[in-house]
Amino acid sequence: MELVERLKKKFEVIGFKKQRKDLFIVETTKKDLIPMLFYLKEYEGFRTLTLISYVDWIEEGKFQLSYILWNSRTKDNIIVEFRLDREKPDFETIYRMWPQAEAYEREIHEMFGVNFEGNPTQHEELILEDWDDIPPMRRDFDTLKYSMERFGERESKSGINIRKEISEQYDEWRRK
Amino acid sequence: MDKDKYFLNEKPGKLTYSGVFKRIDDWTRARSLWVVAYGTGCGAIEIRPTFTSRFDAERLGMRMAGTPRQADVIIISGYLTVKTLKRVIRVYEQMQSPKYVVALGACPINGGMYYDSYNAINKLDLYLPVDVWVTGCMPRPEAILAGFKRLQELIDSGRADGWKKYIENLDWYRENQKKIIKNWRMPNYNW
Amino acid sequence: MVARIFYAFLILLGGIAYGLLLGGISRKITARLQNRRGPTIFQNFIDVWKLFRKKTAISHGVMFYLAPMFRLVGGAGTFLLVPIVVGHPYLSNFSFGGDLIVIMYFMVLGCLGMALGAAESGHPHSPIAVTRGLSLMAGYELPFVVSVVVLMIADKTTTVEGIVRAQQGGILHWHIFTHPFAAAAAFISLLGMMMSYPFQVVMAPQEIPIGPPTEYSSSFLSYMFSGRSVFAVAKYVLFMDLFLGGATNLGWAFLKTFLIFLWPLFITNVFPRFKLEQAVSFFWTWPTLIGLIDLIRIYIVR
Repeated sequence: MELVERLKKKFEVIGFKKQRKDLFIVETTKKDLIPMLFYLKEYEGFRTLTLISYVDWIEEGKFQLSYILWNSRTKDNIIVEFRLDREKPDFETIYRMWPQAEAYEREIHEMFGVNFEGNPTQHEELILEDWDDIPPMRRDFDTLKYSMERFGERESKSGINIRKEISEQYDEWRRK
Repeated sequence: MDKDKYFLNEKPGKLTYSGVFKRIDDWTRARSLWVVAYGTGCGAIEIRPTFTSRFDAERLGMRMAGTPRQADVIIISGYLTVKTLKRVIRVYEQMQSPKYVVALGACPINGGMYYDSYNAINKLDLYLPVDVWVTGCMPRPEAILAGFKRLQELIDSGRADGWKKYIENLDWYRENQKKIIKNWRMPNYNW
Repeated sequence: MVARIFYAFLILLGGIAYGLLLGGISRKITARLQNRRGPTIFQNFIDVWKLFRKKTAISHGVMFYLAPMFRLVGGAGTFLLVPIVVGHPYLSNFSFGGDLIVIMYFMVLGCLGMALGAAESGHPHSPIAVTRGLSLMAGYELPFVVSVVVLMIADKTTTVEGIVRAQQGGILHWHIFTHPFAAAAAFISLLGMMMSYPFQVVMAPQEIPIGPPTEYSSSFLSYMFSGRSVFAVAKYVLFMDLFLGGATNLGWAFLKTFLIFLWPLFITNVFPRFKLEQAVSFFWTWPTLIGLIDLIRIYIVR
């Protein structure tokens, strides 16, 4: 628990959790995130950015961005996360610290619509060519409706619409 | 650059073939299927064992062609996203005329496990004329070989005429293709 | 004269058919070596017919159309210049005095036509393959020329017919036994000519899928296919004439060319591939040096 004490001394730490022996989760604020990443990289030895992950908390009206770092010496992982306003998802790029972040940010921009200010390639299309709807990974995007409208649906000979039934069952399961 | 020189924009004329050699043509076409080596989805992993020593598709006269110009068959192997569909249409139109489409798996038929995906198409036959469907998720090489046997039968009896349908109903296919490929940055026609 | 042309035409068709059959046999043998069934030995005939009857709707300019013709003419020309059975009124083909040099020119013609046509097609893989093909040709031509020069000096003739006549009188008079080093050099350069596997940089199916004819389709490809087959047969016949004592009738010709055909085939099935610079430097050192041994030997023995 030394790490969290050191972090708390310097930054605003909202939540801390030790998930596993070698996995820590730190929640911080938007203002403190980039200084904290810089501190972890340069002072604590978490020199590898493994992944930038993303959660859509639609009920709270927030987005959550998680930066997963790895310390190659002590084999520790740390997840630094913070919440972002869902209506106005603007943030800054970290690709100067880790060049590989450019591609992750580009994907998140495409799939969730977060604007990473300063990322030079985020407006180029990665997977979706000529997308004209809301970003498809947001939870308020109805993929089934979109798929039916855009790609059509094959009529079954027996008259039973298996797709609809499966999707209703899935929705029921998800509500639980 | 003169665009018309490279993109033949007009529709080809009447493409019915007949004559003395028709029977020999069908017989040879059935026994010499060259498959364009282009995997569109997960099913491409089943193509390798089909064509190598274990299942040996070469004994049916099939082989991989490195370029669409020389190929007869294109395999739609599994799910097809909008982005890939764009390329597949280009590849299909570059193939020379007696050409056939084989669709593998459940995804090209009705979307399969990607039935509600925002990016995978659900009905392939809206966009390309499919000659043989092979069902399964994924079909094993045995099933793929059975599908090719069926394709050979169809060609041999002169019933595999998807390529003729494509030329005759080109406007309908184009309309469907343009419906989902919003920004059509391809030449309208290039055989 | 009319009969001559008619028979030449027949011989050419026979050469193409024999080349396609050899191609089918090689596919079958390769398949058996890889423990699978393989296609029928007539598969290449089926392929050529299918390609010939396919439709074409590609245009890349005049040279694009001419290149397959160059290829076919290069193959057929070489084939028609090499005497199959020396002394036979028709089967000795159009051999004449000094024809060995003309044959060596003709062997380059198909390659050059291919290069022009492939460059016209504009596909990025084609120029890569053409560069490789021409460099490889510069590689294997050298040992081949050395061994041919050895034979020319030894027999004091520049005709294939003269070289065949010099080998008559028993199996030990064949050049493969009298000039073994020159023969070794030539047979190694045959591997390069046939583009069999250690020197298979031109078609290189893993990198530049099919090489120069990437843009070619349908009937163009079938012309190219038959041109290549007849060219291969021409090379086998030439090697038979130069090193295996020619043939006195068609039966011997078939047997000897078939034996020569097996040599690159079995090499190709067990070797991986050289890089281009490795292949060229290999040709310029080992086979060339081996051939030079015989050249020096001839001068010393005299």
